[in-house]
Amino acid sequence: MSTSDKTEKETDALSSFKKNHAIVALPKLKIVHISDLHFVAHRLLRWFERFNGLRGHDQDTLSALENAVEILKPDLLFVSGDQSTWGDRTSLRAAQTFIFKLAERVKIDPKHVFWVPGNHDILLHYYFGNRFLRRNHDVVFGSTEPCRHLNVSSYRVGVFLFDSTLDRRKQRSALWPLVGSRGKISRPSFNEFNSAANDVATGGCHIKIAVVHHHPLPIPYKADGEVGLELTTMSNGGTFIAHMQESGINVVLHGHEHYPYSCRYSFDPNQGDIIIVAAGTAAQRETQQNSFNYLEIVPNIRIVVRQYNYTETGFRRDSAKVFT
Amino acid sequence: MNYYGEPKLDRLKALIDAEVRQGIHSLRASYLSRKYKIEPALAQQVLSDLVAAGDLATHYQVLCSGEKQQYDVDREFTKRDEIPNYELVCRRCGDRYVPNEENILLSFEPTEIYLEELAQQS
Repeated sequence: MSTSDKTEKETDALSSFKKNHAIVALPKLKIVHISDLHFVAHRLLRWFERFNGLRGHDQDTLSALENAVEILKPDLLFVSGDQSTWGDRTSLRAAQTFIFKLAERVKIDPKHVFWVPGNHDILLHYYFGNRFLRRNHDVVFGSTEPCRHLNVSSYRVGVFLFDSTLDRRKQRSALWPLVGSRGKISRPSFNEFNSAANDVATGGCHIKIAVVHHHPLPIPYKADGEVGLELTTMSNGGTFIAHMQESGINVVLHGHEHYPYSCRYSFDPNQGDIIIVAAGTAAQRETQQNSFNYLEIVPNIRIVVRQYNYTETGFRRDSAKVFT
Repeated sequence: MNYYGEPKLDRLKALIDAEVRQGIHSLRASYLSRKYKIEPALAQQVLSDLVAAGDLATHYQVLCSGEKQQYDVDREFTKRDEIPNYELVCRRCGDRYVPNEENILLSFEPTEIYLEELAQQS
């Protein structure tokens, strides 16, 4: 073997890839991120499906989603809000059953499945609820737990869940009925997060993921003629994202606008960048494009975000972004 | 398809696309590094990213590392887990050896989906 051949062997050897932190030699954390399922299971509420924005789920799309996720075999499953369109118990229970059946089919531990409420999940409560009634989402899915630590694929993972939906009684806005789609992270939620973020277990995490329903940043290139971003954006989104970066969060997952995209954000150049990933609607009928996200993460090295779009034949993989 | 948003890496991705279109279906970091005069580590990085993105699949070639090492490929595997961690007898020279990372070479094959995407683009 000549010297140049030896050099080539050294370059192509598995040890060399490991030395350079190339992904092939390291385990990956595989995540499926779905959002905005928009279940409408109640017979009476299906009547309203003719109105844009109140449409329900499509059964064929859900079946295709199950097939696609089964092939991907994720370690973690995230559902970032709007599990139902109306927030009624029948639809929320149908959504919950679907999520757990999907997890069972894909063989994901139920502790590795995460969800947060979206503005549609509290719709009935927002307009017709009162202080003595628990929200239907809380009754069916339980209250949003602020933090969970896991060991997955030899990594320690910290997951932080945020409820960004509005509380009408505390909102005190003159524009009340119009701004129900907006979101905000409340001060108590920040306090809960800070407490969890200071935990010793959080300090030892290889990757920290935050999940919220509303989009903290305005969606780029959103089509004209849709609901204006001023009525749907998270009102303290900038503060939220900056605080997430300061607290060492690596990835923020969200849904809400049905516009999938991902970007890198840096508020403080001395801290690690934060990757923001938005998912489209996974199953709402008659929508422009149903989609979900698949992420492969090697902590501290790279995050690959791959979009899967629904077509006649099922979900097909589409564009990917690699954040190194 | 914009993978990185970084011109240098995007250019290398475009070069890999071109290689695959020309029919080079066994890519190596050393080959790309030599041909395009880039750092081997950078080539490794991009090839690995394309594996993560599902465009390339890894092939592990185990070299015989017996006493009379001739650097011959003894066996090939598609998964890291499949490579034995016990002593093997080389099918070529009969030497005994235990596979180690220094003697496992990586080559990268385009996946069917990647080939389909390239065909659609052209």
